[in-house]
Amino acid sequence: MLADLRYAVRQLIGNRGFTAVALLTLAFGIGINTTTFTLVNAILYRMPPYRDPGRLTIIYGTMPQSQFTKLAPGNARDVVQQAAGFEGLTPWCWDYSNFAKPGEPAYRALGVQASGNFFSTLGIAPSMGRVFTPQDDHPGRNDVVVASERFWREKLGGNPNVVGSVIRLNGKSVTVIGVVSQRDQDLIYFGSVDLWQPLGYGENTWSKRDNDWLEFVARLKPGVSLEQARAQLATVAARMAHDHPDTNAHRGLNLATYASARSRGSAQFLWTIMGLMLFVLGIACVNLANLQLARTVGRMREYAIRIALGASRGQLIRQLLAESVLLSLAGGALGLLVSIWGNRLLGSRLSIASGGTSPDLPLDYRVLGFTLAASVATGLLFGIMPGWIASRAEVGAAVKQGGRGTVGDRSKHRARKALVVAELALALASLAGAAYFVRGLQRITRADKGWESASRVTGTFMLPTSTYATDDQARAGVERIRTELAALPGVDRVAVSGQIPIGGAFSHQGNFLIEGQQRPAQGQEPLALAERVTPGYFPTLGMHVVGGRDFGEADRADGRQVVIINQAMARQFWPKGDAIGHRIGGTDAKRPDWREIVGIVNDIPITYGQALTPFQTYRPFAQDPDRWLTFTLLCKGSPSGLIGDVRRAIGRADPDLAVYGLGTVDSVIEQLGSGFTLVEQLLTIAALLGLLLAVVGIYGVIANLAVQRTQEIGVRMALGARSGSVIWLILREGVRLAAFGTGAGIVLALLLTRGLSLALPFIQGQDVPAILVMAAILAAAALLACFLPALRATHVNPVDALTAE
Amino acid sequence: MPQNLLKLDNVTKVFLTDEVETHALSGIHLEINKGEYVAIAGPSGCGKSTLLSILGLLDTPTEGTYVLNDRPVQGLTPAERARIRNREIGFIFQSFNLIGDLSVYENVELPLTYRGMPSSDRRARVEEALEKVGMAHRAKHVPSQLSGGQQQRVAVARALAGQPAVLLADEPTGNLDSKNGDAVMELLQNLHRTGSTILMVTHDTRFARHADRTVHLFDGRVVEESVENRE
Repeated sequence: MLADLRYAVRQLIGNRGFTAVALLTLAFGIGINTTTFTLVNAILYRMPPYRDPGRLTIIYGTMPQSQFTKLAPGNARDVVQQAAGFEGLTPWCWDYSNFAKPGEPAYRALGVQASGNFFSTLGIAPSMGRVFTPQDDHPGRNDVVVASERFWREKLGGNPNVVGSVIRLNGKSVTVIGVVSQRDQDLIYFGSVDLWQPLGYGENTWSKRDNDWLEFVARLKPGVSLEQARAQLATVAARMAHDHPDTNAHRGLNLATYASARSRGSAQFLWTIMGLMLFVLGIACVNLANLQLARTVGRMREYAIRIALGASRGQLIRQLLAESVLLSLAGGALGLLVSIWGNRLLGSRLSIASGGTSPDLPLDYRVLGFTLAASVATGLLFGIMPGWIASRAEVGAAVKQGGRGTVGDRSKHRARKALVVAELALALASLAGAAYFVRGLQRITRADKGWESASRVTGTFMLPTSTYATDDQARAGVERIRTELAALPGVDRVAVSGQIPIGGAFSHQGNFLIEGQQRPAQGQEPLALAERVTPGYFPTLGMHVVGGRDFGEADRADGRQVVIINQAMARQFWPKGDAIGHRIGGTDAKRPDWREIVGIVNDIPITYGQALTPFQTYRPFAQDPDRWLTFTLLCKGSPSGLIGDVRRAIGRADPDLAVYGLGTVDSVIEQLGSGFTLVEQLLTIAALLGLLLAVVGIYGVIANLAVQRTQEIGVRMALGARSGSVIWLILREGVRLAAFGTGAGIVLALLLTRGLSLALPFIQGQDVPAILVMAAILAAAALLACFLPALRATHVNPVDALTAE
Repeated sequence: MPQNLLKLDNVTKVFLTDEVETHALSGIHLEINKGEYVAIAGPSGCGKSTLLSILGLLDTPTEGTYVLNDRPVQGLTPAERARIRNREIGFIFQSFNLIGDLSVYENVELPLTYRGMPSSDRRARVEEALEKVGMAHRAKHVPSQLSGGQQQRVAVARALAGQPAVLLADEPTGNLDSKNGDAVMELLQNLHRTGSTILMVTHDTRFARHADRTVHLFDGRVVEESVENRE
């Protein structure tokens, strides 16, 4: 084996051109795959930095439309009190706080509000001070906060005496009691949290069961299995449904491991990307097999001698494999360097967690293992066929005087041609896969959103309950903001809502009943998405009121309770077109909240995620104020110049309000889609790399065939063949290979895109035109690559060709 | 009583190409004893190299039996044939067939590495073989740094290093000038004197006379056998 390795090193050093091309191919092929796997590893396999993470779980609520809902506080409390298989049960929720310092614009801090045992459930110790405990989790005692290391450095000046200091959050004074190190945070699941505060709910809040907003993390007791815990939760859910049928009928509880919850929604997507990247490595393998095969054919005489001297087939294959695996290991080492660069690039472009922070993309033992496995597998794959062919060297003829070691060359040419066909097919599939993604995502982003984003500015803010405790205060605050924004020069219209429907997102959802119709069975009530909006919302967003009327200033809190529904809802429940004037209400019999339908607007297609329901409703903000809000401005001119003015206008309305995500709506959409853009770019680079490798592959084979036919070409030219016929002689082979490769590629691409459409349901349908365009590009590039050696063949000197050995 | 080393009985070799049968060898009977030096002579295309390939287990007869060292070998697996080739047969080719990327030492060592022999044993064998052919001082050179005669001596050393039962030489002087050709023939003669069994294919009757016995082939058949009288 050592002798094989020594000889392999010598061979590779002696063939610098081949070695350099092979190393470059391997470095990029393995590098791009390692980078992709680093991402897969970081999101799917890297354990969170918590104590004994295998026992951490996430509890979800369930309803007929979804297995992954949040929990209402009353239900969460029941779980905490009744689920015995857990040693830590912690409800928590997101909390955006306005952090204000005198003389500085307010900062919108990403926060988590959680039960007092949050840190002990996760197993996090503070790097400074202390974390909050159940003693802090009571009304009036929860004015304490734990800061993240990043927040402490960036917003609190890295003050070493920060513990005990008081900061202003949402206009209230809270005491910083500790700091948590950045390395103790799980960016993948929680994002880059700035602050943690105790929930501090009173009985009034804990008893609510009609609004789900709490998430739930829990730690299993040692020895309790997931199945046992699920059974306990099922019992708890059944009890809740029995005791509170109004809110809990047909609702249940679902338990998932923390690790699976962490990767929920991304695993399939990531593995699909990984699979497409492996296509590139496959193309690299085939390309290298082809190069290696060409070298093997040139060394057949040597292999024949070795066989004559008693080398077994296995010994010869082992020698060739030693060479290819050594090469691929060196390529893998270079690939690691490429991936370090790739990870930096990816890290700087990627924001997968809330808070806009990139996840850590380390080259840990799993990544190194993947690179090693990919390298060895690549080496074995591209070395096995040449090794097999070498082991079948025909000794008798090859070792004879004058033998060129080319006995049986036809079969080797066939092998090389088959490899080129495979390479072209893989390249086309890779191109088609990338095109499928890019065009599919473009279809999503360019599809009719049901509203307009151009010439619009948006920003989000939160009205803290400390300042805006009552609905009247919230209404007055929003009115001040609307007035200030509307007064800005260049602003045509202003609207405030829970959020803008990017991708079809709505702030709320709830079951509803139709007055006068038979009530469906409990839990079977239809579901609708809901948004609270100020007057002018629909024209500001470019939506169309297609029936009835828009909301107006007259739709006040004390006025008639009204609602606007979408066309899908109107069609479904009032097919005769008489929805206006009917009333819909909630499912809570004690508070039905009947609202009269006064208008019908166009549908907002749900393009991100799965649509739970096609029904959408809007109610006046004044009649049901939210605290988490988004404003939208329709601008007369360029919206980007307004940003500074908008921030100052909000400051005039309330200096303590922090505006987050301020920018043009188009830029917000672009930022939200940046992950997709990155994927598109990665896949495009990979597909182009595959195309390049395939073109180089077919060029190599045709050039080699042309060289081997030099003598024949000389004879033909001596007999009067013209340049055109010589070009066609060589090109014909290329045309045939390109046709076979493209044909096989079209079949493979159809199969692949069919698989992709099943794996990624948010990109629907097969894109046959894209496959055909890619096939045409590939065929054209392949023929161009063949034309060069064909042209060179016309320069053969017949005399030289005929006298050459 | 001379001990039989190789025995071919009614060996036939037929090549099939594009539905055309070519009889390279027909009904060959041949026996070679241990320590014997036999030349196979004949014109180009008479089947000499095919016969040598069969004797060297590089090819198999279409019909007939081949017994090497009391063991029938025509039905062996490729792996068994490779093993016997490695241990019992030493090849000397007309075109030397040294591997250009390996040094003289490594070329001679090559068949021993396939045998899985420990490094120290290999070293002793290689050094001894190179001494025998007078090439020990060129051990670190690569074949391209040697003359044709020197390359053939290295090839002889490679054949000897494995201490085979028989040396098969295919036109060993064909690529050499007369001076170097004579030197190689003398080397084979010396090896024969020390007990080696040699079977040499040649079309040069001058070199065939070095052998104890010459088998004449024509159109794939043995047409004559002559014994060299050295008296």
